[in-house]
Amino acid sequence: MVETQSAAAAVSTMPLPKMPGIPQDRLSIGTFYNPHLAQFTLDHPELIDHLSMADPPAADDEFFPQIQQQFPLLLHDYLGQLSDPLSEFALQRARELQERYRGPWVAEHFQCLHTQDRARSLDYVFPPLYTHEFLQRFCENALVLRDAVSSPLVMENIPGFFSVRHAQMSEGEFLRRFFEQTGCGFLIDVPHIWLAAHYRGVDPREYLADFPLDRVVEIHVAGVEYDRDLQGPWIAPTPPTDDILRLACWVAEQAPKLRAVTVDVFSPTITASQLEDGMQRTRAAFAVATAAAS
Amino acid sequence: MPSTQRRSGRPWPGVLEAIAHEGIPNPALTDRELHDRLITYLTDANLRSADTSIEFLDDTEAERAQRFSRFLARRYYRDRLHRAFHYSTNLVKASNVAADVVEIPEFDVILDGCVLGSLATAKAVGDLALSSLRSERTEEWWSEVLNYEFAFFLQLATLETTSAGTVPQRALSTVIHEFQFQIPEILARLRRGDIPDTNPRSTTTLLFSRTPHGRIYVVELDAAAAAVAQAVDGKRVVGEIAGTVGISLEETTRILAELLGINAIVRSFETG
Repeated sequence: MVETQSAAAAVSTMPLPKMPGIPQDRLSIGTFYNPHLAQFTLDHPELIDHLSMADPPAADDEFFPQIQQQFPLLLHDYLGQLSDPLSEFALQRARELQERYRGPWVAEHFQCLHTQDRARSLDYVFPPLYTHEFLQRFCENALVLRDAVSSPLVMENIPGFFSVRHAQMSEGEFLRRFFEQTGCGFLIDVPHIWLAAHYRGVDPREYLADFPLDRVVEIHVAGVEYDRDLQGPWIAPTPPTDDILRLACWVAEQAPKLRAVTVDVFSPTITASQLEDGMQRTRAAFAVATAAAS
Repeated sequence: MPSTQRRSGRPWPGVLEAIAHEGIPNPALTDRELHDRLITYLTDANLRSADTSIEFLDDTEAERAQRFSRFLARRYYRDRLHRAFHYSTNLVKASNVAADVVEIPEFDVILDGCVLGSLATAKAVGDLALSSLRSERTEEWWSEVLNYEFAFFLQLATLETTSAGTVPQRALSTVIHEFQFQIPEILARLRRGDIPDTNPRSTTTLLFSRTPHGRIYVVELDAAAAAVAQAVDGKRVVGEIAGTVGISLEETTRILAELLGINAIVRSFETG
């Protein structure tokens, strides 16, 4: 026990090993860490500035130590649904992950996917009811999470495929009020916006009219594909389409706090050539946008 | 519905009656409780198939919710099959891997009665995968590899929890299986890309379990642990389990504590 205390004291005075940070003078263009593409990722630092971590690395992931040395890591795991208070287990897990990755911010989602008793779960992103009660719950629980990880928190929008009669405000208003009350950053997932607008039959730019784009810190881009159950397009682990990239650049022009763009592909089915294509297209699109804005 | 029932911590078997259309949302429900009902509705095909309106969805949106539910289920089981049947995936034709069964008509029949995350649906989907894969290879160990993957799949795909009683009880998805081969050795060889042509028969008893946080355990049981685990039936108290197995109360309690630690059984229990 004495030795344990000594070791803890020693750790607290040791300088932390240097970790890569995201670029300060330009937009960081990155993607998710797909372990089966680790070698490709390591071989292409010219394409990938940062990596978002959806899952912790496997214990036997021989590439991860080098990945962590080479790339800034953004915590984008499932930490818990902020519609409900997080358990101490969940908070401790979030704390440990962020201590491990030491990214500039931590991400969670506007989602409510399992019942309070956990007996039922959709096991998939699903938005909350946009009501005052849910707004209060998200604000309270987000601040607890932010304090637990001692880092800025960014929150990602989640699309709905159908409308629930009970909503008291629009998605845009819900998010705007949330960011005003908490000071959190906005991780805007552009395909999610595109889909939400598509299924409401409105132009995505029109749908974004009441969204707080001035709070955007990070943008997600990805592809969409036809799904036979939904009988329409939905999120897919594929390179972003031209339509999505144009919309993302339009968002970027109105987002003065934007720091990073992440190609949101995390799937064992994604291939190296698909990832390369997605990264090249995204970098090209944002280079054009930067040139146009300057 | 009385508030005590709403807060019971159990799913509502009669949820459909409770959410039958009454013209206005039930003012006694909080928004969070209403959302729980929405999740329950989306996860249970039996609720959706009943010819009843839902207070928070008009007809058009209810039809979209139905499509979304099928999307969720197909996605969920494809993912779990992909993760659980990864040994066999490398040993069969690319056109007949386990995850592909979510695209065949028989899977749509399961979807019609699917309760997402239930043990019953997991078994139905797992059985469908087995029936698709059994004849793919002829080696004796092949069937046992599939049995291993099936048991692992049940852990991955079952979210349904077990009610704790006052006596030891196996968790819903816990599987105890006596394999006719040294299955850990066979799997190790498959991981190295080495396909065994023959393998000497030698029984191995494995237990598969899942914790509430989703951690999955596969542990090899010795004879005493296997006997204790098999004797847990939700009726016997610890002393009766010890008597049935024929080992000491102390040893039985130790084994049960280990099984409890990996959520193979549920409930804090008393000796006696």
